[in-house]
Amino acid sequence: MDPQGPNGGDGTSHRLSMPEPPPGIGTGFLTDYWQSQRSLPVMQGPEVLLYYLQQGMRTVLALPTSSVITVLTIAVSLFLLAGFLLVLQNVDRLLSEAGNTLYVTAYIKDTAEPEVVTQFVQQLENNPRVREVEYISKERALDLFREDLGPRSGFLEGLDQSNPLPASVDIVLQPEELDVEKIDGVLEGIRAQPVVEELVYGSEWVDRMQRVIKIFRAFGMTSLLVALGIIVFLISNTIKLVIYARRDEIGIMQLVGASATFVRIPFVLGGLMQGLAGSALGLLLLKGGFTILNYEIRNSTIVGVALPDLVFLNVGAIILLTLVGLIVGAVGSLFALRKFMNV
Amino acid sequence: MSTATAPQASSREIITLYHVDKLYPPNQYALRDIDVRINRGEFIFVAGASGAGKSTLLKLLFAEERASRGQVLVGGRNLVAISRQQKAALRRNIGVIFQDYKLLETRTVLENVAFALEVIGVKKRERFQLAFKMLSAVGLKERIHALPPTLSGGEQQRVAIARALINRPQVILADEPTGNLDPDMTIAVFNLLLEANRCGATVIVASHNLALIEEINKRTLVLDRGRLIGDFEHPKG
Ligand SMILES: Nc1ncnc2c1ncn2[C@@H]1O[C@H](COP(=O)(O)OP(=O)(O)OP(=O)(O)O)[C@@H](O)[C@H]1O
Ligand SMILES: [Mg+2]
Repeated sequence: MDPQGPNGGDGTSHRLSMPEPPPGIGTGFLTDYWQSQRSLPVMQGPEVLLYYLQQGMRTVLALPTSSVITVLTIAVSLFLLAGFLLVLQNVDRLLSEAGNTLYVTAYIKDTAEPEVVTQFVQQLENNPRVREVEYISKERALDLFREDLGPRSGFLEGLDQSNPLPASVDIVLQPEELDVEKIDGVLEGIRAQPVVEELVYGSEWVDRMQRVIKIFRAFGMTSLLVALGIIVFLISNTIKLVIYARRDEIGIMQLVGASATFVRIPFVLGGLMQGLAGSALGLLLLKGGFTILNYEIRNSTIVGVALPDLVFLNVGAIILLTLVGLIVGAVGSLFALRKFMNV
Repeated sequence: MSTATAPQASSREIITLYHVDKLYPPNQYALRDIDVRINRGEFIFVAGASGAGKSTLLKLLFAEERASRGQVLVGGRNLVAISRQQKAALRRNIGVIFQDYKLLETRTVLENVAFALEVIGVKKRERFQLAFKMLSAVGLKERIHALPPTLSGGEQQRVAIARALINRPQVILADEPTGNLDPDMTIAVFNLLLEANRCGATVIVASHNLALIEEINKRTLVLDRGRLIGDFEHPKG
């Protein structure tokens, strides 16, 4: 507009400085409020905590579809991770049971004094590394031999007087003591006994099983770590997408004076909540599936042989897996925010 | 034009720009060698054609952008070397009316206005009461529960104005605050800005509405392609 135009300097044109505001606007509230200098009451202690919890909820509920996707991603991830751990644990248990039971037979010298043999058996019974001990006398050995032969045992007639079978002690060693080196110590101890003629056991089997278990555990740990890495990547990417969708909002908050902490805490709490919900859901699904599977196995008539019961994850593993969900949710949110925190 | 010699703020001075350049990468100079001093309680227009650098000047003042050269002092704080924490603290003392409003789309109008109080931890009851009064003052008390995307441009602009004022900021930066308003509403909004100014706030308004600038007749800085080509105490003389 031309400054010297028809409105210039003309008192009647000062409608901006002497306006008639539209009805209901400009109530004079601003001046009263401003000049009162009244300081506003601020939230304290528990109120702040409650506020952040509400805001955390809000970040989850504001974009319900995204949150459902995030929770499901975490749930599926944890279901797979926990399921994998469950399989590993059970296979490990079965392998250990099979590999850790060593049957040893100690043949007793015919010349051994009965009291010394009894003493030897008692010693074994008191040995913490020994799970079971059974003394088999010469007579019992012959009976057992007869049973084994069944109808063809006739040629054993008359051997009762000059029984050639030695007495023996059958020993079952404690599973947890079956460390190859430790076993050797135990076996040497038994062999050194004067009453022992000969010691027979399948140490190759133990050796082989121990090796299998070691390899299996190394494989299990490695693949578990890889699975964990993939899952962290998967979850943090989902969270990244969701936070990316909210980058404008995050920028605006900072432009209006929100501190970094003020912006972060709700997102981190939201991440924690989603992590908790996701892990719980994933583990519940696994528990449900596991219960059904175990029930089917137990009542299975098709298999015919009694299968060993499967064991579910212990409390420690469940807590650990839940923590994985929580931490990935929270830390994933924190990392995803990083890019948008410098407005 | 003031002849600033060193970036040293006096107690009256609230904003100092000392030989400020703003270069947007790779080679777009939005501001060149700007030297300005602004005292507490002034009401100032920043005029200039579209693309002259008005918004950029305001962005330097609340640290959305960083000067490429020179010094920017606001309230005695040098914004060229400011931490993230100080930036947040600065912004709580500045009410900004953004050219594109910048409202939180998932929050209601009332929550948007209350948000400026929320970031300083004001209790819920208090901040909603004040937000309601502030929204009444801009004629929006009927729309407090609406979400910003459902409002007209002018309504959104008034929400932004209410949010900028609710914190009783020392400085108000308004980027084309009435660009979408009809004449009556424009008057009402400028009355609010003038009222805040009478209460002690320093107000800087970027506008290319020359008629409006003349009507209000306050100090006016004129930008042309990034250079300060005029600084008039009263544009109407
Ligand atoms: N982020 C950016 N990156 C690159 N160039 C930019 C950026 N922001 C602004 N510019 C350029 O800087 C110059 C000044 O822009 P600015 O937004 O400050 O102008 P303005 O005076 O506010 O214009 P208007 O009246 O249209 O709002 C323009 O040429 C613009 O293209
Ligand atoms: Mg602009």
